[in-house]
Amino acid sequence: MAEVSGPIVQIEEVAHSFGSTVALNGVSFEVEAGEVLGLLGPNGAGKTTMINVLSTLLVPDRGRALVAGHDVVAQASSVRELIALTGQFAALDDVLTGRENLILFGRLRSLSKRHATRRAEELLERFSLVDAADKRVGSYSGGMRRRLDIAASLVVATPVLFLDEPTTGLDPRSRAELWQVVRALRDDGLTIILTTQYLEEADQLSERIVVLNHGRVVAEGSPDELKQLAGGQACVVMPVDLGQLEECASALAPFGTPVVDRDIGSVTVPDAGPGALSSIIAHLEGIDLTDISLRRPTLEEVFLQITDLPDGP
Amino acid sequence: MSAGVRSLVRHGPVFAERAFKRFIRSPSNVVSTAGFPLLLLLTLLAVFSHAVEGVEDGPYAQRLVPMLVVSGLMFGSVSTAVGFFTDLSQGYMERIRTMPVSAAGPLLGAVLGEIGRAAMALAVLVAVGHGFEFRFDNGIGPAIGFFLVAMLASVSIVWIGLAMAAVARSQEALGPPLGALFLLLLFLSRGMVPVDAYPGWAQPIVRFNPATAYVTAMDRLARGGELVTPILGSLAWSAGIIAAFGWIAVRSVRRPR
Amino acid sequence: MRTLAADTLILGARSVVRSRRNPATVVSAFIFPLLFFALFFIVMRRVMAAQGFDYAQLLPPTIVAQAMLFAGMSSAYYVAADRLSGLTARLRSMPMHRAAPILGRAVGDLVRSFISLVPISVVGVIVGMRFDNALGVVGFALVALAFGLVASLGMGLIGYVASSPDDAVSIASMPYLPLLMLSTGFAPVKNFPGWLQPFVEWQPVTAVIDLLRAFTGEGDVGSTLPVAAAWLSGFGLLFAALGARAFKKAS
Ligand SMILES: Nc1ncnc2c1ncn2[C@@H]1O[C@H](COP(=O)(O)OP(=O)(O)O)[C@@H](O)[C@H]1O
Ligand SMILES: [Mg+2]
Repeated sequence: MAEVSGPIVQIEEVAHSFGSTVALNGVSFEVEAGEVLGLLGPNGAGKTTMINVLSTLLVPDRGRALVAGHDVVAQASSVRELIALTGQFAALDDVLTGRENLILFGRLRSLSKRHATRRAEELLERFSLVDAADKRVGSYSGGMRRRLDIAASLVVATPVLFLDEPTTGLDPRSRAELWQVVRALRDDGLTIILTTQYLEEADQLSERIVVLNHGRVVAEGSPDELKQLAGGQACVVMPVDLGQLEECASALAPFGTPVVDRDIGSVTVPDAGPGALSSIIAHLEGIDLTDISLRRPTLEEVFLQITDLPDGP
Repeated sequence: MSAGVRSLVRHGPVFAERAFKRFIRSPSNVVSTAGFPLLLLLTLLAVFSHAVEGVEDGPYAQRLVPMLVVSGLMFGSVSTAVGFFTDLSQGYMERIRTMPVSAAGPLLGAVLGEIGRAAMALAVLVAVGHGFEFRFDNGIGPAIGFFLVAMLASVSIVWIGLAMAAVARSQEALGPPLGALFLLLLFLSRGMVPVDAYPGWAQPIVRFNPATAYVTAMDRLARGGELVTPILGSLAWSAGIIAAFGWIAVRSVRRPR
Repeated sequence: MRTLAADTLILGARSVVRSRRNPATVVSAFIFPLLFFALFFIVMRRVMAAQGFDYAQLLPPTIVAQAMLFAGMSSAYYVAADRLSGLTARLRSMPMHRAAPILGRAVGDLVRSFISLVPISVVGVIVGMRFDNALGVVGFALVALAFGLVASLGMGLIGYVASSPDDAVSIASMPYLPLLMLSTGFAPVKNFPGWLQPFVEWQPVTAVIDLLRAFTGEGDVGSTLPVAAAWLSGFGLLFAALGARAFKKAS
């Protein structure tokens, strides 16, 4: 694979509507070669639509997208040589065995039968599917299907891989296994765009995150940068008397949007602002506290805050 | 040669192999292609041969075998259509579209796979039909023609289901209507009784029916009789079916551009 | 007793609603029987008339019997669907009369049979089937429904062993074709090959069709009733007993 410097994927002002539903509303971002980019957003944010544009399945209404300099619309066939998609549904033939599926897709990538067979063997090994290799895919568990689905995208090394919600619906163990797979692919130097609804997943796997909501990019940056986006410090207050949670919340309202957690018995202000601690303590006079602390907000808190806004920051 | 055609030539055998594997691994395929037509052959012979042999010469099996070959092709192709619907709705087709492969490949594979279906229907029905006096009275050349017409019918009829799969919104909206359509085509063909046994108003429908064209061509190839009309008719029906339904089906796999 | 009746009605109503919402049931209850009716009538009427076998009068009872067999196939489908979704297990674990789920299903089967019986009989009358009197109409309907119930109980058994609802229907269609075709429904006994004639003459579907015809004035109720009644009650009891046992074991 040739060393490509600079952005390998470029997206400029891409917009697309389905009838009156605006799925993408002017999205721009870039992905560096060798990077894992997390495309994060709630259900219906436009993630799949974006992936479909990039993988030549959908012609956008406006804007353009390039993969390694090739336009996904005008030069679709060159783009197809460079990409592999693992879509939201497992794109496999249920009637064929795991091995046969891999050989099928290898031969459709123009490998010789022998070569495709050898490659299938390697991939089965790598994705721990050797035992199930000769069983029909229809009998696979969700995690096995997903692994095979990704393996089918790798029969021929393409520089760019799209993974659309690769862990949705998997049990925690299969999810952890899949994370290992993605990390290994990153170490191989692949450029990966991965969509997810889970913050933790984006945090764990990607170097950079683009947050999509209502078809727009509402935030972008490394996981750390995003956490700081909220303004740095979250303040957590725990009253002795749980009956005073609401009282705490209203006392803290001037400092941001307080989030009450009754299970833990805490009130959190995600973005308390620098140096707010002393004035917060002053506002809480008359309430006995077991604990008060400052910490960096979790990505989850940031995410909720960003996607709460109707139209981004 | 365009890139798409090159890919079809190169990858066609791969898609055909997939279609063939799917075909032989599905028990319902064997049942609908050979099992059910065989059961129909035996029961129709038992129920109606006495009556039909009262209105025409020759064993009833001679008339029924061609019709039941066509019925096996028709009802069997329903599962090919359902398989294509699954390909379209569950991601397989999407993956193919993102690959440097002609998106018409899965269709080509499905059509080539139908030849396997024709072979199975022919083998079973001709062999069992032999026990009920079905014969190739006309020599080896026409017997080969009989098989070729069945192949032609198989690669034509399948497009009807593929096109319906391309426009169907759910699997329930695909299987039963397709089955009903084939039932109509078969019953209103000359496969069960001679054309003049139909009521007068139905006779034009019976004559203008692709199943009638294929069945008549096969029947005459086996038994003898004027061949030009039914063979030209079969070719014309095939060309029409492939052009019309093929257009709809191919449109559904085409990429956005 | 009140709970048995109440639970049966609740489950029966659910079974009916469920069938109504499934397009496949509608197709198999109305469209396919009517289509078969039309097609056999158009294709075979003249040929059979030459044999002295009048389809206008004789075919409607056959198609009614066929529709009842279709109702049985739907039953196989629903038994398998309920078993595989875990609903059967849940019903067994609930504090209701043990017989309620089984009777509830029978209510659903009967309603389905009735709904399919009406339009076919109407078409039959339009085409030329005639009843001698009101008693004939009532007898015709009762026998058809009894046959529908027995077919549903019998084919429902397949639902307890099939690996999917669709498989259940495929398996149920195996006995259907020979039982229906190798009866007096489409041709008289004398038209069949000699070795088949005893089977055709004495098998249960023939008995039912002959009795249905007797109620339309084609034949004698007195001689056909005992045979049909014996078949229906014998198989009815057998299938009900097997069904109760399978239900108790279903998980
Ligand atoms: N084929 C389609 N037809 C109509 N609306 C669609 C279609 N695909 C997606 N949408 C709509 O576009 C929006 C974005 O969808 P999608 O890209 O699938 O979101 P995500 O993958 O982030 O969940 C949603 O409102 C969805 O309902
Ligand atoms: Mg999505």
